[in-house]
Amino acid sequence: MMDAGRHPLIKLMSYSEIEDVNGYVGNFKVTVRKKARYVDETVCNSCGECEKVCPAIHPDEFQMGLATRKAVHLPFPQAVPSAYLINMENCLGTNPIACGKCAEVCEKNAINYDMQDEIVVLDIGAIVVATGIDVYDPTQQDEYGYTRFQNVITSMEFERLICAGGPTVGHLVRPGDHTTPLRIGFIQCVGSRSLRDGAGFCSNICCMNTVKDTLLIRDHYPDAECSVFYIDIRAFGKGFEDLYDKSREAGVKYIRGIPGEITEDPATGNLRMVVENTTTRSIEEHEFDMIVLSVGVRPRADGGDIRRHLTLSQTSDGFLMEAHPKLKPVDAPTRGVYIAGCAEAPKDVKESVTQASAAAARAGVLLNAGKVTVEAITCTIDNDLCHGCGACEKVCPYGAITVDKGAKTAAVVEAACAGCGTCGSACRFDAITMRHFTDAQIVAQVDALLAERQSGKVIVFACNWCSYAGGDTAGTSRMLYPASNRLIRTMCSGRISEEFVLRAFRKGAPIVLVSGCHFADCHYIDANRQTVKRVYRLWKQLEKLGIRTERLQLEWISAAEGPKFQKTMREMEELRAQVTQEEIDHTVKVLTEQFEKRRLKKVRS
Amino acid sequence: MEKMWVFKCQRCGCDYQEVYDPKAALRERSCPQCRSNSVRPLHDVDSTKRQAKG
Repeated sequence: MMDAGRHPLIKLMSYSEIEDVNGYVGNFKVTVRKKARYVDETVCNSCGECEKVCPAIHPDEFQMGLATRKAVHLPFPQAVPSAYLINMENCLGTNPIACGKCAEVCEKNAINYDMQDEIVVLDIGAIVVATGIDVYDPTQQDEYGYTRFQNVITSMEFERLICAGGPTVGHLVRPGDHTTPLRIGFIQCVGSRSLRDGAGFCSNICCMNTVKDTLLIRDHYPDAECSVFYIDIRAFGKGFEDLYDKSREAGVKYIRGIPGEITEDPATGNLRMVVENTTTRSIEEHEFDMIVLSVGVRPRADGGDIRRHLTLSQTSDGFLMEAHPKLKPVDAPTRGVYIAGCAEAPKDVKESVTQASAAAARAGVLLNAGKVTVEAITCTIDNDLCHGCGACEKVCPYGAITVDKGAKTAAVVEAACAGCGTCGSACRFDAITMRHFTDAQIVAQVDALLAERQSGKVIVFACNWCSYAGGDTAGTSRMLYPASNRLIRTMCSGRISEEFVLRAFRKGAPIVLVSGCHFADCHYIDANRQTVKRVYRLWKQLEKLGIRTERLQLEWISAAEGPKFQKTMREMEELRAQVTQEEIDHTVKVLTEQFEKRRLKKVRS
Repeated sequence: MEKMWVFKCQRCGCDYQEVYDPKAALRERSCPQCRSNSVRPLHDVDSTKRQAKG
């Protein structure tokens, strides 16, 4: 942080928030709200005189509430810039000035009660998102008695207690009576690997953090006994297994089993628990002076804002999704945006630094090149046909289209367009052409596939990245599926317009399957949500026309799901066999009539 | 607003109920019986009750 703060080419904006992000790769305009510190950071020399006289005392967030801070405070000891700030919610008041003691003692006249938030607009070429994580609050797991029992603490609170810069200057004391605990229990996976607690994922860092904590305790307090209750210890990575062995050799007891409930002895403040040791298959009772809940991590609660500003996607766990898990692990789906650290997934310091270095290098490559190479699969807009309705702008996952409703025109930034084709499907005026996946090209494929023996074919629209790749997986794994399934590839299922599906039915297709990526895997942020909406509309339309809605199917198949692809294709064949020739003829007749009506209406208008 | 809706599986034909808000962000759904993603929201449960009363 110090190096970054002193670097002549790094502009550090602490205590600031992103208000808005516009533009595209190489040309982002980022609006930043620089919050008022009420202390001039260019003048403040962190002498601390203001803090000494401040009468407003509040819990210190950095010390996890185990110590107090003043209204005017340094956020944490190593803060960069090393300048104080006033939390106005805690201050006794500045309008009128109720106290003013900090200003009186400040020799540098750094205190400015009239300071206002500052809005700064920055021209940015590339963005690295490293917004971190939140820590799980175990209060909701009432069985562990966190906040009910003083001597049940979280691993974060333990970190502060054992830290030399913490509230006890590194002396481990239990919060109940400030005595040194000699029997300490650690409970692992609190808020991790449990769907009941809202997180099915492993938080990655807690096991090794506990191993480190036990070693610290054994080092500082050789008489202290430590017991760790776990599901399984995940000591992967360089040197981690050695550290785990060292902890066991140091006498730390590792008990495989998670206690159901903690109770407190009101007289002593000691904590009791019953646990099933699944290694020895016995029920054990334990008593501790202090229990540490090894809490998991959560995606940031305010992560939605940054996702919205940068049109990013998230996984089902709520962490930011990378453009590709293997080939682009630090790239966000939006060009020019990179992800580092726990914003992407829980990870330890080493992995975070590795990812941050990679993200910085990727951004450096982009900026040094001075230009970007984009795929030729982008959309173009014919403004002679455009009505300026804004449907394309609304569905574009990348915000690459801007519509001028007054002039009834639209423009696409090709550097920002990723080529999903969702806009082309949403346009009702044929004003958008998707290069390499034009309406004419897809319609020609539909027509060619259904030129003969229509009743024996299933039309499958498959997205390039997942469903089509799932078919490849099935093929390379020698998984047989019926030859009646005929695939039409599009880059994204969002490209599959209602007209393509209706045309397939109009040309005599017994069954049409629309397939794409699972929601969490969509390569175009959330373009496949538009697919669902479109299929819902089509089902409604088919029902109105007296066509069995079961003839239009929807399935999410990932690239790794060869067996699912095979199963789906077999099911499609079963459905196809149930469709009679009379049903197909009726569908063709009804849809042709509807098509002609619409065509005539269009010609007249 | 989230309400309990009746969904129909377009693959196996079963009906089931699930919380759904047509205006909220969509999430991936699958039939509890056959795991197919071809599930269609038909109507909210309250409207069924209203129809039954009417």
